[in-house]
Amino acid sequence: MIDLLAKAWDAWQRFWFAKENLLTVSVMRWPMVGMILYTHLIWTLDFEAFFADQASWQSREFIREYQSEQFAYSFWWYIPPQWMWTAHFVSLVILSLFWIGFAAPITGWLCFMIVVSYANRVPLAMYGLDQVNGIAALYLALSPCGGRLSVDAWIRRRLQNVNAASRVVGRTLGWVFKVPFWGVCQRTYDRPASSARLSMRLFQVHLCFIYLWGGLGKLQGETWWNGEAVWLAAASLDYQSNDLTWLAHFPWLYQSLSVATWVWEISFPILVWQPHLRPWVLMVGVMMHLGIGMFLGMWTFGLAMIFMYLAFVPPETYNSVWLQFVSVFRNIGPVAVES
Amino acid sequence: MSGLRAAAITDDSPSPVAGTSLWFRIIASILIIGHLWAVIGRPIEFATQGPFGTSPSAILFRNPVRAYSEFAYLDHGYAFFAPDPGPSHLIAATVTDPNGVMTELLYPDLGDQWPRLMYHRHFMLSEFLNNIYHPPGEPPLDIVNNPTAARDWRMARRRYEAVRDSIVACLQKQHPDCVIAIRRLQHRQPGLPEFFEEKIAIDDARLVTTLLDEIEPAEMSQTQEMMPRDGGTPPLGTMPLPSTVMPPVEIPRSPIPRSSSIEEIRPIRENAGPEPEVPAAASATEAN
Repeated sequence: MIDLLAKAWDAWQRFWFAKENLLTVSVMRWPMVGMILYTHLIWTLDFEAFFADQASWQSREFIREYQSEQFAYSFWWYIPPQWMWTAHFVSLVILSLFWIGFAAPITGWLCFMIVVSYANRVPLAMYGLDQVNGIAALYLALSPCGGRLSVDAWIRRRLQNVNAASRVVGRTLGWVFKVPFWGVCQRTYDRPASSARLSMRLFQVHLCFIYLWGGLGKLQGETWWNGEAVWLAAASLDYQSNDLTWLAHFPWLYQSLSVATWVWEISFPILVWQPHLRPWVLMVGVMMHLGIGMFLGMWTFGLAMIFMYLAFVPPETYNSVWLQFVSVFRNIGPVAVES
Repeated sequence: MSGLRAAAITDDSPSPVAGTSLWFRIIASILIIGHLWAVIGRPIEFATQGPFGTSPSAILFRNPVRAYSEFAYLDHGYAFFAPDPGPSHLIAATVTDPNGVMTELLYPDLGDQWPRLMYHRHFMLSEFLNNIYHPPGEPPLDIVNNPTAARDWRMARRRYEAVRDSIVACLQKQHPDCVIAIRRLQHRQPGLPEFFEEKIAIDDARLVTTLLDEIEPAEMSQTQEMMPRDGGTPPLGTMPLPSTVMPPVEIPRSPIPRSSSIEEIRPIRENAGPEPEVPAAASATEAN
């Protein structure tokens, strides 16, 4: 029994804490934070209608009362009306910095705070995309995702390649500003880390929960059982971006798609851990989300979900893809693995 | 070249646990379990919701991590298109300028809200307004006798009115000096028999119904029937299930009673049905 527990504890530790290449989380930062940036950039088009204190779609008073019994926070409650546009632009700048991987240990947590603050200010206009954005912001902030493919990494290389005096300057800045420059100047900053594995696992496990509950929720409905659900989604004019009514002529197709959807969702948490099945399971998911984007107009949500799949791609794959990419386009001999 | 590649990959490949103390791993493990607990707490609550609220067991399960899940924005049900893809709910706004010219706005509207993300923002807004709809007036007799249920009844109506008034105020700001009136629309999908036999296309006007601001007579009597006299929990199996299946084509009913000050407002859309719902704020504007 003790032996069994010891083995389980060992497996648990390896699952969550084994050191992991930073490449996976660093690659994920680009599309995920890019999506977060886009999501917040779009608010600019109708910013005041949603965020103004008075006469906005969701009045400040109502939202505060609505959240009075929740532990929801938002920095918008403390921004005076005349500073709202400034706060919005500062937020966009911070998101941009995190996107390019500048001072990622700090901008990552600021990004998470921004995502949650926006979501809690206009909760009535939130949907699945914002939930995925929140997950992405939290797990990327936890991770050393600025270790590779980032401005931080570029600065670090520059500092390491120049003279010792610059390194002293860097260390001094690191001492003053604690985290980002400290990270930049550490030789081990881009080495495999447990935090990269932890973040990657959290993405993977959370995705499994999302699909599991998505599938179980569908089982509570009648139309996912009798196969009409896909027809109902296809026949919803307010979602439709491409005509799908031709499905009505193929009952076997929409019925099998309806059942396959929840079967795939519920089986995802099991099948995706099988190495030989993983590519197929993910491919089905990619097709499903692209289909939802193409026909139901939810491109942003579909892409955000697909970006989470990147957590299942091993760093070796990114390494080899990157090496091939560089070799093909530069046609040179030895290339550095570091981007 | 190959040496560099091999070295790079070997250096970066996952290594056994090392470099972190045992205590760190134990504490981190406890935090991970707490985090995952928070992740599944809300979906369980969501899945066990019934007409009379959430399962007490689910609430009990989530309570220890509720604060964290809300703080970290993890309190989501993940019930995408579940339990069934239902009808859409829209907001139609009638804007009447000082000359009496009326303009009809629709939320969401692909023609007005761009890009698609902004359209979805407005879509969620209109869906939320419908989700929290609560009929006006005093609670039914059985609920009046239960102080808690009666308070919840009135609070639900106030909450709906607050959201509705916010929307009207926002439109008022965009259209100063105009009279604003909004109403909720339900846009359902055609059933397959309708689609084939009656040739009802998905953009057919007959699929749009104006939702009235009044208690549904059938719903009222059903609720009264289901509620026990003492206001307690009704027996299992007698509670009506959430309305998820497409309703039959509705015949527009007589309009709700309204004040004389909005007599002249008439719906413009052919399929718009009865009079729009005019909140207190809009009525006041017009009266002035």
